[in-house]
Amino acid sequence: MRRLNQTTSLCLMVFSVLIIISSLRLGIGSLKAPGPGFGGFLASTLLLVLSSVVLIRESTTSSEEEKLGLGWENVSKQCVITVALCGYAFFLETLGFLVGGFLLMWIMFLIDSPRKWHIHMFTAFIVINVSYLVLSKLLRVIFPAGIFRIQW
Amino acid sequence: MEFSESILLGFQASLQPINLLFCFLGVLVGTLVGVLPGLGPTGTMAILLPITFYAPPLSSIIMLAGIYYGSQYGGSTTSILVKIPGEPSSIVTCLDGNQMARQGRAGPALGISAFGSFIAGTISVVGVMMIAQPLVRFALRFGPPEYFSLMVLGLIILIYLTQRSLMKAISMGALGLILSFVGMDAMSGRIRYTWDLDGLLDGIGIVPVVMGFFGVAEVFENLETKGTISLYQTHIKGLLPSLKDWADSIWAIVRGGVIGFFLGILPGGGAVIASFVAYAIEKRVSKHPEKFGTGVIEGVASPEAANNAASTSAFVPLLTLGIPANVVMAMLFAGLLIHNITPGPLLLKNHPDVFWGVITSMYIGNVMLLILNLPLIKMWVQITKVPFRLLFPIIILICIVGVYTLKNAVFDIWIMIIFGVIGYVMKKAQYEPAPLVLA
Repeated sequence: MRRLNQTTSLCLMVFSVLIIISSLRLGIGSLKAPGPGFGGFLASTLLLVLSSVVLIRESTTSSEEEKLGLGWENVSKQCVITVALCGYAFFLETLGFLVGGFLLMWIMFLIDSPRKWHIHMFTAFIVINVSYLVLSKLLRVIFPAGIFRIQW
Repeated sequence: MEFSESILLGFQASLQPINLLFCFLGVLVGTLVGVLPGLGPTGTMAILLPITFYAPPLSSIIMLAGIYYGSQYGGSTTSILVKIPGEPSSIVTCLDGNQMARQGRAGPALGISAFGSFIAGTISVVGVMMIAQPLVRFALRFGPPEYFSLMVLGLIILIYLTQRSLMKAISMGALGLILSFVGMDAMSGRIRYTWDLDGLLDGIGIVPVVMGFFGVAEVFENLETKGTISLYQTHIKGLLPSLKDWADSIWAIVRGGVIGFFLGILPGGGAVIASFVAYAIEKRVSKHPEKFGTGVIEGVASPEAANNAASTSAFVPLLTLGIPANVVMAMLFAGLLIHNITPGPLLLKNHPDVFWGVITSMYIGNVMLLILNLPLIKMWVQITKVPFRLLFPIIILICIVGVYTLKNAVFDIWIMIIFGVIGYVMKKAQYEPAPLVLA
């Protein structure tokens, strides 16, 4: 928990410094005539101060809190889904909704029981086609067809 | 406008076939998510936000509201039968509800829970109707400074109510403000914080952020839990409570309804606190307090009545003053803003049909919930057996499709993924997302 808090605080600090620099470039103006970077500057300064306090506090607390547990059980599943989602977003326009969606659903169904891959393949096929039918045919949502032009 | 005219206008709006359909969908989905431990009403509302683009504003808000109070009904089912509260507001129902189920009285427990929720919901709807108009009349005197103060107050209250670190909650509020500045500055026309990414020129949309934080992150969080739910094997019979059950619980329902109504109005009160307070008071006024926790029907009736009444009255600060009392109300706030409707004192003046339509739809929704919950109780019990590993891919797919259909832009999917991961890590580090969404 302590390590996680330190990491998140550091990330927030880096982010707020970036925003402060951008705000200064945009121009913060004055209290009576605020510039485009005024609001961002104030909010990011507040974020920087608060995350620094959290970081300092977490660095000075006793290590006993470490034993409370991080709760990062099964984090591998989250990582797999994140990678699969990134892959889906990256290849959506190339593969199209049906192919991309089918692969994504198959991977997600596989996560808990990879041995039943053929059943999950069938389930993913049904789910993606039913959703396509509802969304594309009934609700007239336009999805990318991809390079294979697979649509119905 | 006279009070009776307002009510008639509300019923005229909420009884339109499309609004009835959306109300039914809302309470159905709400009951479903209440029954299913894991996905809560906030996540569901976030996932369904894009669907509301295609519906009229009133229908959308009626549906979103239905999800909220419907989930309070559904949450009791798992509390009684499985001893796993579908919603935090049903935690206290587990104590006596599950004991009743173990004694073979699951039917009356579920029955009184549904009837109690209905009666208390009705008390609360009548209360909202009575209190809303005077409050709005007072708030109509507000000018720009008061509106600004209300906005700041809303944010402060949401930050103050966070259950964890206050500093982290303020940080999330500040982060939310920074994200709201991304894109073109309305005053100067300058492009801010886009880092040459074309997708950010229009700013970061609230829907991809909300779906990331409450949809994807919630799925990630639920994937951590191992094990399956073991349903207590009991034959559910006799859902209609006996005369003795009614005699034992009717005053508990009324007390729970009144307590829930007043605690729901107070920012921070909400359904969870209302259910605990109602249970504690019921135990105190009972002639046999020692029996609480062993399966007394008042121990089910009172908290269930209170949580339903509170979930209804929580709409008062949102609709009259524009102050979201909890994260669910913040989500409804976002839902209204999407349709260019600003919650607050002017809502009643500018959109009386929306104001009174939402309020009267809650009464209709309560009737629908009673019909849905009692005859279909066996179906809801079966649904608790659906494993999360089969549900989450569908939830993710709904999130993706919902985000993509906003602008047919893959960039929004990226935003959702990024905020899903950030939301998950933030939740682990005990940063609460509600102030970010409101900011």
